Amino acid sequence: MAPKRMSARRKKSSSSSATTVTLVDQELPTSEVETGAGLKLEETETELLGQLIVGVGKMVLVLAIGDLHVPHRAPDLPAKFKSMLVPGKIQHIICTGNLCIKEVHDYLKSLCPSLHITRGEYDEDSRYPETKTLTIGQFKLGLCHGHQVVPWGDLDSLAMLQRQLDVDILVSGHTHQFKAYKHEAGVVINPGSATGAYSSITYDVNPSFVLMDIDGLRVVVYVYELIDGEVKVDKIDFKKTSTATI
Amino acid sequence: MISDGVEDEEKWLTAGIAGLQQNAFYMHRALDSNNIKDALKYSAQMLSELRTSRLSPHKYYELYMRAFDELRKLEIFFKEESNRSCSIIELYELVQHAGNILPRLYLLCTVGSVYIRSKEAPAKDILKDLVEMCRGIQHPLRGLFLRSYLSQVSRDKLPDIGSEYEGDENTVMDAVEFVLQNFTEMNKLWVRMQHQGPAREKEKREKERNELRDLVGKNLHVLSQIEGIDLELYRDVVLPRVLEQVVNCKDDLAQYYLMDCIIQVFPDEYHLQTLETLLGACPQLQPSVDIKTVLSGLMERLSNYAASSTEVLPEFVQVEAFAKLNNAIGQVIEAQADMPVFGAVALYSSLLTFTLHVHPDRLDYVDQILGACVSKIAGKGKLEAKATKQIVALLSAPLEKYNDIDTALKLSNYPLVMEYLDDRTNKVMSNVIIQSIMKNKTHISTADKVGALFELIKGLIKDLDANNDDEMDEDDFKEEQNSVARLIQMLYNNDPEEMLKLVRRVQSQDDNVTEEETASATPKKIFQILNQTIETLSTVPVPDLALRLYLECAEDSKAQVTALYLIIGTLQRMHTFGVENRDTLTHKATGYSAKLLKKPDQCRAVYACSHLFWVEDQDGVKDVLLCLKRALRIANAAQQMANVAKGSSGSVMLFIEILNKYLYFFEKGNTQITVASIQGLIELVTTEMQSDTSTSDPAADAFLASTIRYIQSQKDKGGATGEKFEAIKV
Repeated sequence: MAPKRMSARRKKSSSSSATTVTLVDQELPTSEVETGAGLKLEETETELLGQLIVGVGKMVLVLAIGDLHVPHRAPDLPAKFKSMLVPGKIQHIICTGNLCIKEVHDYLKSLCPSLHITRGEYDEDSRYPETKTLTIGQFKLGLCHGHQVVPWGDLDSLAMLQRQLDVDILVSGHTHQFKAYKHEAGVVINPGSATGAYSSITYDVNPSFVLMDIDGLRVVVYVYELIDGEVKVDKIDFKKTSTATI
Repeated sequence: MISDGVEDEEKWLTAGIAGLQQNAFYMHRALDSNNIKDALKYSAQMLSELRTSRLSPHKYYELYMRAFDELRKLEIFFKEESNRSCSIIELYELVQHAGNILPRLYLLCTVGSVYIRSKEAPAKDILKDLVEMCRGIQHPLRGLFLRSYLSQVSRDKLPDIGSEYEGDENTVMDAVEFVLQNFTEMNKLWVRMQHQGPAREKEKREKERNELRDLVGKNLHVLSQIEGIDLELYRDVVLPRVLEQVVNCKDDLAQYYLMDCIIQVFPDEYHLQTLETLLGACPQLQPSVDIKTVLSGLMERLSNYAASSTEVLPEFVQVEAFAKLNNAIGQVIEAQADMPVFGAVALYSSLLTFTLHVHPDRLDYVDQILGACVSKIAGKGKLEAKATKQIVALLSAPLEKYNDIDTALKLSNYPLVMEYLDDRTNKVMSNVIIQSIMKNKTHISTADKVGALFELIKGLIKDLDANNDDEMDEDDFKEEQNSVARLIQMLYNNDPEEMLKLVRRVQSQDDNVTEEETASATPKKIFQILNQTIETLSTVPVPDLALRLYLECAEDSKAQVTALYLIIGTLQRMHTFGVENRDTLTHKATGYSAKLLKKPDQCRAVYACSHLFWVEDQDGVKDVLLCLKRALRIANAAQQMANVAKGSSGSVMLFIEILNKYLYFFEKGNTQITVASIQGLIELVTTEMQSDTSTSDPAADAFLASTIRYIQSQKDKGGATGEKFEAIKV
């Protein structure tokens, strides 16, 4: 894939690129800046785009993606997503599973060699584990497809898995519904289905994925959702308290 | 001696240059002292060096260029001289006293150009005189360079429209006549060159001859620069005369080069208006001429011309360009019986590109070309690799142009062409088709289209060649099938009736589904189809798959676990069953969970089942507890097994998991889960972890710690939850 710039900016955000640069420059070096202070959503988007293009600072970008179900339920990732996901910008990919074929695995690997996958019920590759944990910066991340957690998508049951894996951020899939909660002392994220594949649980599925910007004790979770051909970006800020585990 | 040929040539060139420079030096001296006699004498001696026959065209050119530079100086002198004393007419007579013919003619041309400029005689007479005189040199190499010199010095003095040399009796016709005559003579010299010298050096000579081609082609270039040649003059005089010479010279090298040259130098609109004449010459060329490249070049130019502006398109229709080109290609292919298949296909490919540019709306033309192609490749047996490559290009062009498989599916000859591809190329082409569909997100929306499409890509769907020896790489096969599977996603129709027909068609690829399938798309019907499909799949005879499953029985148990979780998860979400049915299913699921191969899997599946009993408004509170207790018993059993095996811990993990489940239902308000039971579990876990027999497990430590933290945070919440959790001591 030829490297391209991120192209998913909404119309209203295209105006203020000059102010964005200064905004990024000021905020990046210090991780102690109070989260979300005075940031409007429109600016946030461009801030992220700016970061992806510039690729500076010590923050780590983690792509969370899953339930692609290629080819059983979808032919491919949406072209808009593909043009946004370019090699060399992302430091880690965590994939909840259900890829389902090698071509998708290879594609993700081409975006970033640090690829972590857990096994979905449709994955034939038996090397994928059921759960996986990894530490990025100050954060411990847990990964699980989620079909093993009954009731499916139930926050309290996922919270138990979060305690069991002893992680700050739990990423799971299976429901094809994008979710991100601050729960107990951590975050529970479901990146949804990157292809918008149907599921027995959700009727209308919008393609979505999640990008986490981990910087020190702070993580900003950006959710990219494709709605009627337009990419919508949302963000959730989370700051880890010193009482948390490590 | 022979081996030193190159070295000798170098020596002769050096000697020639030395002689030339020496005489040029004396010529300059004479010019400086205004001594015209000496100047002519030394310049003639200088030019005598060009009389050599020892040099190859390449070296001769070097010598010629030096002489050319010197002649420029002489010309400038002549210009001044004519302003002063000696008249140009006298000078024109004077230079003819030179002893040798070659120097004489060079000098004559030089003075002639000044003579024309002086306008003391009509340009046409001088030009005619010069071009006739040059006949005196019949040695090909020397003649070519002399005439090239003539062309060079005269090109800005032709009586062209708008030129200062036009008028009175000087017309553009004289310019045309002059250039045409020079061209004809040069071409004759050039063609004759191949017969000079020993036969064994023919190959080398042809190579040298090829190097000289631009000298001849230059004349055509000069012609194209003449402003006065309008379409009429081009059509009636220039093109017929040039083509006559091309056809009559009967030399394949010249014919190929000059045809190409004509196509490249003259304007597109002239070609379009004279297509018939130009194409008419093609079948008359030597059979060995690479006519397909020539024609391809022409069609490419016309395609670009058509693409340049939509305003020119009516012109194409008016002159029936397609019919003429199609006809010409047919004739050429017929005339050149031994033209390789790839050549013919390449021609059709060019015509197709032309058609797609000029007549994008004429699908029938495209189909016609494909049809002609089919009849050409029919019965040729196995095609060579080059030909297959051309066919792929041919078939890809409409896909690229229309960006829409629908259009290609309308071409009746398209699948016929694909028939002639070998197995591998057929697959490559099928993939190109699939890629095109994916790229353009074309939805295939009717059963007929599905049928046509699957016919096209059948190479990927069926084993075309039953006795195919070469084993296919398994990964490649997987990749192929994956792309077909992706294609299935593109078959879509919003209308369930149509969608059903579509699915039907996919199902029965062999037989055409008749229209009796008019049953409406009821859910029942759909389930029937699904059931049939599943049954078909289950009967696929794959003995090695069974063996693999047997060998990897650990793998198998993993699959069981996954399947069971899917059943439990689905059941948990199903609310359509009656109480009785639900109970049966729930107990079955729990039963199966307890029968899994490994104890930890059993335990986890069973406690997952506890959620099945926890239904709003139903009396399941007790069953939840029973289920959790059952999980606890399994965990106990697992622990005992672990104790026997020594060292392998992990069952503590199960206890903590169950503890968390207790907490879950406790929080949800299940009255059967008491503080005491939770307290008991916490103690059990704590003692278990402190006991000497179990090795320490950091994961369990962390899990317990986070569970305790969780209880604490629930306490801290206050309110009803806080009150509830307050009773638990940690």
